[in-house]
This record gives sequence, structure tokens and C-alpha cells, in this order.
Amino acid sequence: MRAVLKRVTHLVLVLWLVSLATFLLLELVPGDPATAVLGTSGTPDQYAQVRAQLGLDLPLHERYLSWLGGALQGDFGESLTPPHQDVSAALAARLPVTFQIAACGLLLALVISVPTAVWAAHRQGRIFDRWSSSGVFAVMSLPTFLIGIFLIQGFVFHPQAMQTAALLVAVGVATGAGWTAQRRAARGDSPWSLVLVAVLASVLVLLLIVAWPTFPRQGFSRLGADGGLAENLRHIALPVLTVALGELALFTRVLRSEMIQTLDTGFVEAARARGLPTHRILLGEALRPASFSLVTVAGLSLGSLMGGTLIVEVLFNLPGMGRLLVEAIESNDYVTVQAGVLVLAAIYVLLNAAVDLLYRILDPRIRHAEQ
Amino acid sequence: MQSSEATEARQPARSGAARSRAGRGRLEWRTLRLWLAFAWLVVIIGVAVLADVLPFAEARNPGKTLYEPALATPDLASGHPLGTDRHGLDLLGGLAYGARVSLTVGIGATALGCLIGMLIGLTAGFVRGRLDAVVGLLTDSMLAFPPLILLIGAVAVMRPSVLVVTCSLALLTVPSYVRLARAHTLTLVPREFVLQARALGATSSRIVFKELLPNVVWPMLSYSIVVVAAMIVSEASLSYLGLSVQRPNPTWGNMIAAGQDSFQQYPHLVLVPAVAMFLTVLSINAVGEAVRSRELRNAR
Amino acid sequence: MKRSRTLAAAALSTLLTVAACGGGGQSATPEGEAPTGGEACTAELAGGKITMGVGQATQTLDPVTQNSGGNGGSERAALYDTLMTYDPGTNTYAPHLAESLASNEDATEWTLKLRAGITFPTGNPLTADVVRQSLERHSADASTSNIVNILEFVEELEVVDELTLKFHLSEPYGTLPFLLAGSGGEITNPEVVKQLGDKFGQQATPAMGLGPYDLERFAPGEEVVLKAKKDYWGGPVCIDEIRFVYITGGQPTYEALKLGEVQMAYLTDARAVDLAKRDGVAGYSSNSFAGAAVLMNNGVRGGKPATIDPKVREAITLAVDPEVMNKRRWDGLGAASTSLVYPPESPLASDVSGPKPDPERAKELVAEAKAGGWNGKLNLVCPNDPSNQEAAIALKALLYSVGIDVEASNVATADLIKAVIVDADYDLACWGVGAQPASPYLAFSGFHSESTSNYSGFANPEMDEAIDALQAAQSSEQQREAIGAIQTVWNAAFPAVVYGSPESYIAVDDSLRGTIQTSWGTVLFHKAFVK
Repeated sequence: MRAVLKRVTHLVLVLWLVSLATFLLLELVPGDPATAVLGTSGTPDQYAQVRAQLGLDLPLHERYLSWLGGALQGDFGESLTPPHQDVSAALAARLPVTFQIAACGLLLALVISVPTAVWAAHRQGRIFDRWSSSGVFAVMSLPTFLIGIFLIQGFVFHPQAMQTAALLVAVGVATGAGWTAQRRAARGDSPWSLVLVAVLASVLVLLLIVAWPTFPRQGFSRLGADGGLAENLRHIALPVLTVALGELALFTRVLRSEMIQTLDTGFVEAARARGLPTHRILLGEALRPASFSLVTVAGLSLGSLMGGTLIVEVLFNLPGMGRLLVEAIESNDYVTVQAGVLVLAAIYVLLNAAVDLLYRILDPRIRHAEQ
Repeated sequence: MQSSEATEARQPARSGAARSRAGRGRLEWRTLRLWLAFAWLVVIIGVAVLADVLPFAEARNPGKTLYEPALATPDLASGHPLGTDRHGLDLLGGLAYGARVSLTVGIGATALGCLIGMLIGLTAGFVRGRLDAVVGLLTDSMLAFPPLILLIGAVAVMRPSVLVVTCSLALLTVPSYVRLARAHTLTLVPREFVLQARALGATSSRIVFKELLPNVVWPMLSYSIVVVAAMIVSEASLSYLGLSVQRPNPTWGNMIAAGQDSFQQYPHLVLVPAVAMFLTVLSINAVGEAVRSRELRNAR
Repeated sequence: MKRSRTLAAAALSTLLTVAACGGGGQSATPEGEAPTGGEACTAELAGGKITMGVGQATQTLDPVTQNSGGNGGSERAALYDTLMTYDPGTNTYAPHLAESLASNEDATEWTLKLRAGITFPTGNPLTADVVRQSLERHSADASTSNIVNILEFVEELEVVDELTLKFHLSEPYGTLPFLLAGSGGEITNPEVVKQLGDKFGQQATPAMGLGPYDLERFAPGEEVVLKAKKDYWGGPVCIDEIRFVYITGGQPTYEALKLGEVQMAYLTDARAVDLAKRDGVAGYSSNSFAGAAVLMNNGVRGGKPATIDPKVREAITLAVDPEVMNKRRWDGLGAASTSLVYPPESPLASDVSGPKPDPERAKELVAEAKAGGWNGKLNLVCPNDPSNQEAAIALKALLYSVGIDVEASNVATADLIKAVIVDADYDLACWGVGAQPASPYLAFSGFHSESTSNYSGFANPEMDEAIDALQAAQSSEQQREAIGAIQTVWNAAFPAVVYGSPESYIAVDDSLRGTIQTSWGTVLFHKAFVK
């Protein structure tokens, strides 16, 4: 109980420091919200008047305290620059966009990296491992904005080329899997997992031929809008892929090395000795203990992505948190920036705490160590 | 970003049994790859250092290129082997000066962050108590602060320059170095040689600098190689957003940003700096990987 | 992040609707507007949705605001309608919400008659008093409207009867109809204004105005969604929903049109305009006269910048070669010229052309100024959109080549406004003049010594006289003559450096018919339909 209390105090202190730091930082940034209010048509007197109206001529600590007082009651106030709207409303409109991009990107990264890492660990040193490791290494060396630029070039401007490439890959996978399945069957092993892969790849090929969506260059369609889920997915596909490619290198590397370690441990050897099939050993026995670090890494990634999708938002012109904050900084709207940073920091620390908790619950090693 | 790297750095790499399974041909390819990486790094560092001496066409002052061909496509036989941009500035020269910025920021920010973070982490880990709690609170707050907001704010307060970008990026790496150094220190403090030094009546500062520091430095340095690569990417991202060194002074990021809208007609504007950056980051990562696996082998 | 185009151009654009009404005692006849290609919405053609791509995210939908076509102009016109409409093809005005508008001989008294029987969705009718209230919001103390300058001439708004409003002006103003075809003619619903106060135009509220559409969703920086009104006074509205989405960058905007993401695209980037025209995409073209320009600080509010020296100003003017600017800013595809009005086919283009670039002479002048103790250094502040970044680099290069050392910075819009207007702390600033044929006066009035929008401190009696003549000018001929006089003074006194009149192009997809172009950058949708 005392530990929990200590933890909560710590979180509150962290958030308070963050809000103080934001306030001081913005105080140093030169600029004047009044210019954003009046635009080009104001006279110098009008600017002074607007500054007074916005309360900008009050002393520093008074402004901070009045902001803090409001924030403690859950009232973030109204943005200083037009459009004058409740900051809470502005954040509520932007946060889901960023969250969707970050969460979907993370999910896609996991969907790609978990099987890749598991299989690479299983076939360590063999051709799949070498190729996937090199690929991961290459992706790791590309900054997000370049990945985005290249994806846009490919998917938006040369869709046929991408379609053909995807088709070739799918056909290649299907034939490869089919061929290996045949060889396995001849050896008397079970070919079904590979047959499944071949069938899936063939279905993918068919899907690609029938329906290849046109991806928009930029923009966003909300889930509640008329287009519904389909439009939404079409708009977020490329941003999500960009985020996923940025994250998956780390995930794959972490899981692969943990997995290799786990595969060397006694209980996996024992499972092998019992004659369990490969997929049971990999997924049933080894994956769970090997995935604790991945849980940590993925949780931390989500936390930092919530405040770090700015480049993707700029590239694809998405109405997310990053752009809201940057525009607010540009027009010196400290009320919006304060609230935004506080919310992002809160999400970050809460996710961190959650990951920590999860880790403690899941990992028997830590549980045992503490007992 | 930093925190996840720190996590990765804590990951143990492949085990010995796994290593022996790797084929012979693989090892040769690894060696070759490492040498290629070294070669590229030597070239890029050389070019960055000697950019002023090497006979590049004008790459920084558009006032001197009013009569140069603008948007020339790469042509190895011409005076502009990698082409020119909108203002007639030479892209090869731009690469060299861009490398200078990238490497200065990458190495400078890492060194600065490492130094500050290590000293704080060491002290906190050694002294413990209230100081440790305060340091923990501060590092947690810094990690919770959205890094881009900090960078944008810093650049808005002081005009963007190599120094400002280096310092702000260094600031961002400090918390993970603090944590890493503190964690290492905590494992060292109960060790025999420290206890011995204490028993012999060594002062605290002597223990920190003579006994602990040399043992903490090495793991920090090997982690730093990856951080340099990450810092180069961060600098490029800032440049891309217009928050680092301003054009016409070339950086890889601002060259890409300036060319991205005409990717269709003039792909070289993006591809030239993109390839240079990719190869550099890849090479540094390869070296970092090699150093780390060697270290692990030694540790065993 | 990337706010496009020169500020003044953006700010002034909507106001400056084109005026070329006949001589004195002009009047516009109530014949209604001519829909494009003779096609117009009928009840059978109803249905469909369209999306328009705009380059600037509007921050408010209140007409009392910064206003331009690419920045909320078409949205607002669809919400409020305008008293008058303008036809750039014939250079004439037509009444829309109004019945007629007529002036006395010297354009000091204008009489506006309103259509009878028009009511707001809340039931209150459109009356002369409602128009008066709507206009008075523009001239209120805290107003940020940029027609304030013109409303200063309005001594009295006299409500003659229920449907007649008389404008008594203190000075002759020849192009009042343009005011009523732009934001001044967008009549706000007094009941909703009273109810919302400061928040009017910043949240989706029904019945804001008399236009064919109601505001469905307003997400700043993302989209504006309009829904058709069932009971529009002007007959059935065909298109059910119009979305205005904000797209960054000229070429992405055009690409969105080609990919079918939008049916209409507001293009201001020379390369995108060129692509659209070469692809044969239909659209509405217009030039922002002297919209690419550099303001030189002439010592506004007692400052003593080096640019006070006429030699320095002349040197800068002669150094800036529009062809080089064109190549480096617009890949050679822009409308580059030092003349105040370009292209020469424009009815307002006078015989007097702008100063000819002469780098040799510029070098001499710089040398002379340096001999007089000047250190040869200047600062230049420009917006931070990609096009203006290229412009800043090119300007720096051109000035470097004549011996001037320029420190250039690209800043956010708010910071540019702060540097130029609030602090008056700059030597050179990327600040377009951005005049429109309708009332070039408004843009050029910024160089009148007594104007409140004179941000450079330029003062020259001959210039004042020429600008006064432009203010009173009513016909195209009179305006052309006045602009010729301004250009003559300009070529000798160098108030600012002009290097182009950027073209904007509203590209329209083939499936979208019946749209009507009115003042610059604003499109009317009440007759539009989807084919």
C-alpha cells in the first residue's frame, strides 16, 4: 500500500515538473499570441489591447497559478488564438487520431515482427534469419521521414509497380511454401502448416488482383464520418505502415535475441525431448517467457509515439496531437501547449507504470525475486 | 526513442551455442560487411573534415552560383557529378558539408549527453538517499516530456544552429545515460574492490573517479555507438522539419526536405542525401553491433 | 506548419473583388448571375457530395476576419451569400441578395436596395438594418476585419426604409460594389450573433447566414463540412454536402484532384498551376498583382534602418532580377515581372512598366552607400513555407552578388506579423502587395503616408496623390491611369521590390458543374451540381 502511495506521489510530482517546465519554456519562446488573434490588420494599440484581454500582461506566477488552478479542476481553459475553443475539446478531437495511428502502427509492427523473430530464432544462422536480420538492420537505418517519402512515392504515385511487386512476392511465397510442403509430405512430415501458408498467399494474390485500393497522398477520414471504417482504413494505411516500419526493427531484434536464449533453456530442451512438434515448442512453450522484454519495449514505444508521430502527421497531413502542438507553439498559444504536453506526459507515465505492473505480474522471475 | 534503446542495450545478445551454429561463410560476410562499414565511415569523416580543402563546386553560397546550371541531373563527367539543386548549389559539396553537420551533432550530442549523464548517474548511484530520489524524479520528468516539444521550444528560443541542436539533443540523451550509469554503479558498489577502497579510507570522490568511473565508462561507450547513429537520424529529422541548420547551409535533412516536392521530376535531390545518410547510419550500426558482440564474447 | 503565400496577399484577396463598372452614377442591373457554361442546378439534378482542397486552414468562419479565397472565402460565401456577385469574365457586378446598388456622380453616396422576402432560417427577415448591423461588426473597435480601411470612409449608414440602405462616404470611393461582393456583403444573422457573441463563426451553429449551406462541422486545421439548406431563398440546392479539406503543398493539392480525392482544388503553387493547365484541367485563373514583393523598411515609427537611404532602396530594387527569382522560386513557371500589374493583358496593366534590373548600377549604388558609412548588412524576414524559403535564399543570393550581406530568416506567420507590424523591427520582409483589379486601391493604400496599414513608413506626397486618384477611380480606364501614375512614382522612389504577380488557379473536376467564380478565389455553389 505504501509502495502504491509512493508511486502515485512520484507520478504527480513528475507531471507537475513537466507542466512547470512547459510553462517556463514557452515563456522564453519569443512571440505574441495577439498577432495570431489580430492577423495583419491590427494597429500597435490594438495588439496591446488584445494582450491585456488575454491576460498576458499579468505577472508570470499569477498566470501559471491560474492555469494550474483550472487544470486541477479539469478545466484547461480556452485557446488564446482563434478559433477560440475549449482546449479540452481541441485535445479530444486530436488525441484519437494520434492514438489510432500509434496503436495501429504498433500492432502492425508486432504482427510483422513476432512471426519473423520467432522463425528467425528457430532457424538461427540459416537463410531466413540472415535475410530477415539484414532487412531489419536496413530498416533500422532509415529515418521515419524517408520511409514515409518512399512509401508515398511507391503507393500513391506508382501503384502499378507496387501492385506488381506485391504480386510477385505473394506468388513467390505461395510457390515456395507449396514446394516445401510437397517435400515434407514426401518425407512423411506434416505439411499442413505450409499448405496453410501457400493458401493464404494465394488468397492474398487474388485479393491484390481484385481490389487494390488507391491510397490518398494525405488527409484523414474519421471513423464516424460517412465513409466509415473502409475510408478510415484507406486513409491511415500509409501512415500506419510508416510508423510500423519505424518500430518493427527494434521489436524483431529484441524478441529474436530473447527467443534464442529461451530456446536454449532446459524446459524447452525437455519439450523437444518429449517430441512436441515445432510450432508447439515455439508458440506454446518458448514465446511466452521470451516476450516479456517485448511487452516492455512495445509499451514504452506506445508512450513515446503518442508524442512522437509529428513527422508522420506532417507528411500525411493528419490532424493529430503533434501538429496541434506545433501550431500552438508557433502562435504562442501557451494554454493549448500546456494542456497538450500535460496530457501526453500523463499518458506516457501511466503507460510506463502499466508496463511495469504488467511485467511484474507476468514475469515469474521478478515475482520470485521479490518474494 | 532513448528509453527503448536503453532497453535494447540491456538485452543480452545471442548465446554461445547459437553462435557456433552460424556457418563459416556468414562470418566472412560479416567481416567484409564490417570492413565496408569502416571504409564508408573513413570516407565520410574524411570528406567532412576536409570539405573546405577538397575541390567541390560551390555548395553553400547561392550568391556565387547565379550563373551555374540549376537542377542539373547527376553526371559524373561534369563539374557537378551528383547534380545541383534549385539554386545551382553542388550536391556533392552539399553532401560533404551535410556530413560535417551530421557527424558534429551526432558525436557532439552523444559525447555531451554521455558525459553529463554518466557523472550524474554515477553520483546518484553511489550517494543514494535523497539525491538519488531527486535525480530519479528529474530523469522521469525529462523522459515524460515530449522530446519534440522540447526541441522546437529550444530552437525557437535560440536561433537554430549546430550548437543549439547539439545541446538540445544532448539534453534528450541525458536521462537514459543517467539510468544506465546508475544501474551499473549499483552493481559495482557492493563489489570487493570498492569495499576495499572504502576500508582503506579512500574519499568518496576518489572512489567515484578512480574505482567506479573506469568500470562504468566501457559499457557507456559501446552503448554510445548506437546513440551516435540515433542522433544523426534525429538531427536529420529536425533538419527535415526545418528546426536545425537553415538552408542554404546544407544538411542531409534539409536537402531532402527541399527536394521532396519535386521527387517525380528531380529524384536526385532526395536520393543523393538519402543514400549518404542511409549508408552512414547503417555503417555506424554495423560497427556498434560488432563492438557489442565482441564485448559479450569477452564477458564470457 | 506550412502556411502558404505572402500574408498581405492572403489577407487582402477576398476584399478585392474585381470592379469595372461603367462611368459615374453606375448601377448594377438585377439580372442574376450567369452560371458556368449555362448549366445550373435544377431539382432533378439534386444529390451528391463534393470535396474541395484548400491550401490554408481557415481559423474562423466569421466574415469579420482575415479573408481570402484559399482561406475560408468559399466556405463563408456558401454560408452567408453575398449582397453582390462579381463576374470576372465580363468585369461586371450583379446583385445577389441585393436588388440593386447605385452611386451618385462622384461616388460619395451609394444606395443599396435589398431583395424583398428573404428570411434567415430563424424566421427574421433581411432588412436594411440587419445589413447595417452586419457592417458595423466590421468597424467595431476590436474588429480584425481588413475592410476597416474602407469603412473609415463611411460617415453614416442611413437606413432609408425597410429595404434601402444609404452609404454616405466622406471621400469618394469608386469601387464600393467589391466590398459588398466580399466579406462586407456577407450578412450575418443578428440573432445568432447575439446568442454566440465572440464565438460566432468558430463553432458549428445552424442559421448563421442566408447562404445555401449550413455549417455541419468545423474542425480547424482539418476540415469544414457544409450541409445543404432545404429552404434556400434562391431555389433548390443540388449538392448535399461540401467538404473543405486542408492540404499542404501545391502539388499534393493538385495530385489529390487527379486521384479523385477532391473535385476542386485551390492552387497557388506555380508548378501545380502549370501542371493543371498542361493537363487541360478546367479552372478559374486570377493573378495577385505584385503579390510577390519585398517590403523595405522606410523608417516606420522613427526607426533608422539602412533602407531609409534611397540609394540602398534603389540598389536592392535593381539587384532583384525577376527572372532569377522565377527560376529559383517557381522553377521558371511563375508570373515574374517588376511591374505592379502583370500579365500585360490585364485591363489594369498600364504602359509604364516596372524598374529594369541592373546589377552593375546596383553595385555602384551599394559602393556609394558603403562609402557613406553603411556596413552593407541587412536582415530579411520571410514566412516559413517552402516557396518562401526558396524566395529568401534567392533574394539573399541576388543581393550578395551586388555586395549586400543579407541575414535571412524564415519564421512562422505570427512571428512575421510581429516583426513587421507590432515591433516594426525589420529591414526587408517578404510581404506581398497582392492587389486585385476590383479595388487595387486597398492593397496600394499601404503606401499612402496616412494609411493605418502603412507598415513600411514610406511617405511621398506624389505617391499619396496617385493613390488618392486610384481611390476615386471608378472605371477600368481611370484605375489603369492611376496605377500608371503610381508606377511612375514607384520607379523613382522605390517603396518596395516587386518581382511577380503570382497566379492562382481553382482547378475544377469535370464532374462538378455550375460553379460560379466571384471575387478572387471565391466560388459560389448555389447553382452547382454533380454530373
